[in-house]
Amino acid sequence: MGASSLAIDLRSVAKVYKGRIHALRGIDMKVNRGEIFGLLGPNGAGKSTLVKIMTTIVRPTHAEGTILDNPIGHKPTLGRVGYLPENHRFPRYLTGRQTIEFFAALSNVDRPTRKKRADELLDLVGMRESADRDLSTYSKGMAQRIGLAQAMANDPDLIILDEPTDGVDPVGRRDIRNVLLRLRDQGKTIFINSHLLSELEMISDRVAILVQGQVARQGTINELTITDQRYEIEVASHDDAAQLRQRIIQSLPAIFPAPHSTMDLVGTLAAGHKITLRTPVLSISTTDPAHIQELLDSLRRGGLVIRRIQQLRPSLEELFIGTVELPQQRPGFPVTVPPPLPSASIATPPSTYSGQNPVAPPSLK
Amino acid sequence: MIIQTIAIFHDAYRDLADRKLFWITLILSAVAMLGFAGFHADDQALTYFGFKFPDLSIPSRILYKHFFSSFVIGFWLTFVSAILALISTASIFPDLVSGGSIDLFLSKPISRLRLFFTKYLAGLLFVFIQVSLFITLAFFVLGIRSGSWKPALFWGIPIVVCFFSYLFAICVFIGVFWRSTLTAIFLTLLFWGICYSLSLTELILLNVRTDAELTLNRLNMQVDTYDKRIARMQPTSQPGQPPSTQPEPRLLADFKATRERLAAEQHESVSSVATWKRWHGIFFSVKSFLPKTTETIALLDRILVSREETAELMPEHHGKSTSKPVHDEFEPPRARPEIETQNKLRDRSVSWIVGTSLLFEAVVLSLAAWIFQRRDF
Repeated sequence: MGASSLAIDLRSVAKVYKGRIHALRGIDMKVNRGEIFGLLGPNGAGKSTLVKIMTTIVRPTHAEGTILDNPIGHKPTLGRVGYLPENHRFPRYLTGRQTIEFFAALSNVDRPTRKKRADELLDLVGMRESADRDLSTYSKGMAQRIGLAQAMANDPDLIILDEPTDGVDPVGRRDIRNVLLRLRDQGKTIFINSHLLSELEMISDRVAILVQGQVARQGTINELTITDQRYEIEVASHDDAAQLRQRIIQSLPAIFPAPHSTMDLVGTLAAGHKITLRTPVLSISTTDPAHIQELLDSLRRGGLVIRRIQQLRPSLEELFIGTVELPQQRPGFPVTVPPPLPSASIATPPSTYSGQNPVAPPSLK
Repeated sequence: MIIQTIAIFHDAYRDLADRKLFWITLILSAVAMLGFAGFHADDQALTYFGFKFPDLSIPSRILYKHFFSSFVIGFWLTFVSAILALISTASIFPDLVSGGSIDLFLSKPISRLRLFFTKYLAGLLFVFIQVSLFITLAFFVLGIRSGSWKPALFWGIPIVVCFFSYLFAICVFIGVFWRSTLTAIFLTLLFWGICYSLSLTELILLNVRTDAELTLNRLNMQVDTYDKRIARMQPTSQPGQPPSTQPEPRLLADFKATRERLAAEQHESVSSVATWKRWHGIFFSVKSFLPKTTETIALLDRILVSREETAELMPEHHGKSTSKPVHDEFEPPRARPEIETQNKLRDRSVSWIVGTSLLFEAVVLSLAAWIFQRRDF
């Protein structure tokens, strides 16, 4: 029987603690082989419980599906899985090298192989110099790098990482990202549970957002934001803001027919797409460039200079907040939501990350 | 599977070697043993760093063995060393099941039960290493200083490890259940204290019961003797019997009175034996279900010191009294209850002492393993 294209195929995974606390309410999740999959969710959403069920640390109340083609909870399969838990506590009396070798041995890796592999991994995570120091002398970032190395010690097909960049400095985070991308290129499947949305956004092929023990959304970031993608047109002028606003309105009489006093003007294109003016930026809810051509012509005819045209999609952060806030709006679905992050709706130059993403920026992957 | 087991044992050794207490215990054991090496026994006398012990009318070699048995085995290995070992190993399971650590182990392709029992055995490694080194040292000290080369001493290794395993099982159960090292140490010591107290009470009751039984036996013999004498002294009605064989009425009356007094004592003694037997039976039954820490360690005494040598150490045996007790048919010799009790203890089978203790340990460990297997971490 050939291997399935899915590394993780979870169906109806549920966990009830003490008969009353529903941590997971029937999770369905699919992770393809060779992709980086990000798991998101607010505190208490059940992310850690799900990861722990996959790694047999927590026993599910109900679970169907497979991990690397074997049923969930199948111990021998864990020999092909690498895992870095959140808030790990490695034995303090071991050195970095010994830690990698010890956990490789627990995955049944023979001595010559684990010796060789430890050297390779120490190089990979940039810890060769400190390999023979006790873990007790390591900084959190160094311990995290060793943790990542031990998760790869058995050359796993699936690597599950819980907050892998926790406590790591920006350079270290970049290094870890690069390691993960290299592993993906080698065909490994990487499952990341992280609060750092920007990190996930940079490397994840697909994501799932857990809310109150359920998968609220799942797919590629592009798929999940398709309905919220838009074009932004920024107009340049030497006029002050009020004059510029007036000139834009005058240039688009079919869209903004009546005089307006509010800051944000909302109109509709002929094709039915919503257009919002927040001087000096026009935001058009469409993914089709054909829909904005007439608009551009009208602006130019009005003597306005176009400074920037950009196709944008919501950031992962916006997607996340939008998703976790949704249940709150449903009657009878109370949910604790973290305070909303500052709005990032004002476009910035494409080279700078600000919470809004140009669509498929090649520099991010 | 072998790779994992070796890795866990190797890790346990590294863990122990990293603990200061491991080395402190090792050094203290060596110092204690070297202190004991100051004793020297030959056919003439027992000396300690040249100081000659006064004549205690006990053969010096037996006294030397007694010191070894009571100090080295009874005090050091059973008490000091065991407590230090308990303190050193009590944190193994609470540390294992703590968050961030257990995740790393359970996410590996090793079953929970195998992980649990391998860790348990790895925990016993501490005592095994300590006792092995100590006994080896003791073997040479005993041989060089007293000329008694006893390979049987090495039985001390499995015996002490077995004894410690009873306590460690409790410690592991508490550690898995409460996840607290301090609670594990405290409750294990408490449990050990209960077992020791129970064992001591049972021993006292056995001694009292044995004394009562010996008294009853003696009374039975005396009453029997008097019955026979009285029967012989009864006046016969047979014609032709010489008058000299007729009993004196006064003597007969004395015999009868004494016999009645003894019969009354015998009656009381029967009741006393029944009472002590019942109480001893209760404590013995309770003890049967618990680990026999004292008796397990005493197994090494059986190997090192013979029954006869034990009897020679009893106070009555080497008392200073010069007058020998006179026994006749009316006053049978009094058996010594201490020796009888010791003999009864020695008659208890190894399979009962170790078997029932290991059974208890198995139950406790199974319970701990069940919790470990079922718990969500």
